[in-house]
Amino acid sequence: MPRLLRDLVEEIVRSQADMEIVGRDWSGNVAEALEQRHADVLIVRDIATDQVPDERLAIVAYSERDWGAFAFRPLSIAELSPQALIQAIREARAAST
Amino acid sequence: MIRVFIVAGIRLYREGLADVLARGEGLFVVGAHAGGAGTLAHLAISRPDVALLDIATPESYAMAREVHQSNPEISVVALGIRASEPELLTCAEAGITGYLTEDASFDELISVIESAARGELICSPRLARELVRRLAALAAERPPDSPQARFTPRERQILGLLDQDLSNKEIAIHLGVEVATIKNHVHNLLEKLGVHRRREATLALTRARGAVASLPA
Repeated sequence: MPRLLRDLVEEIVRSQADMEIVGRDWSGNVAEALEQRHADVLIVRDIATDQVPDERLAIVAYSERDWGAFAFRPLSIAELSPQALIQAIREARAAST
Repeated sequence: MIRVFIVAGIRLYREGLADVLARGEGLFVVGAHAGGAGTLAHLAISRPDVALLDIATPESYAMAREVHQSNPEISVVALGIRASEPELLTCAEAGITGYLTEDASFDELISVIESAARGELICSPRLARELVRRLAALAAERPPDSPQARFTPRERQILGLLDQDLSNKEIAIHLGVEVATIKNHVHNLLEKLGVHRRREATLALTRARGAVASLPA
């Protein structure tokens, strides 16, 4: 994730009293990130493809239906507001617990 | 307090930066716009010190140029450039006085905004050298700034006659005009040359001719 975008996302998350950043720039797999850092959700950059040309973030958390699997919520940053990002994080957290 | 206006097509940048910058000390976000039609009008109304412009498309440079031309008092900071030398030169030509790559930190963003608001241009020595080279090339394309270019055709004519030591009366007869008219012209000439006597005027002209003649080809 570009540094500026990452800093911006972190500032938005930190502005919430009930959220904290427990790690960044994780190079391992998703399960390791969620378990070793005790994270509820991961925010990752979803690389644009020919099919999905716009830049996206994705909220990753354990799936509510299938423990051990992951729910992947892509969010287009072109139309994403800070409030919508926070809302998506809350929803992902709620769905995984 | 630095007044900041954000122009970004990407909503997360636009609204996120507005939220986060507004929390910082010494910064006041006066507006944000997605770019395109209406941006300049919003800028004119908001009167920011700094316009933070996301350089996401080639049209963004045209926007920067328009902002610079219509509101030269606003410092334009470009966000998200790749910082190649040609791109930095394009930024300079568009009137952009500060820039940040995607890999810049949030602290760097604030630092660049503060520098831009102070009227500073932060650039590498390499870019500064390239800018000077461009400026020199542009200056070379322009004809030398002859002091005579400051005078009207009539004043140039009278200056030539002064150089021949003609009096006001002789010049008036030569040109077929009143002496009072010549007096006015001579007065204007002395003022433009910053001297008090007609002899000083012809000396100043001689010196200027010599300086122009000695310019390298």
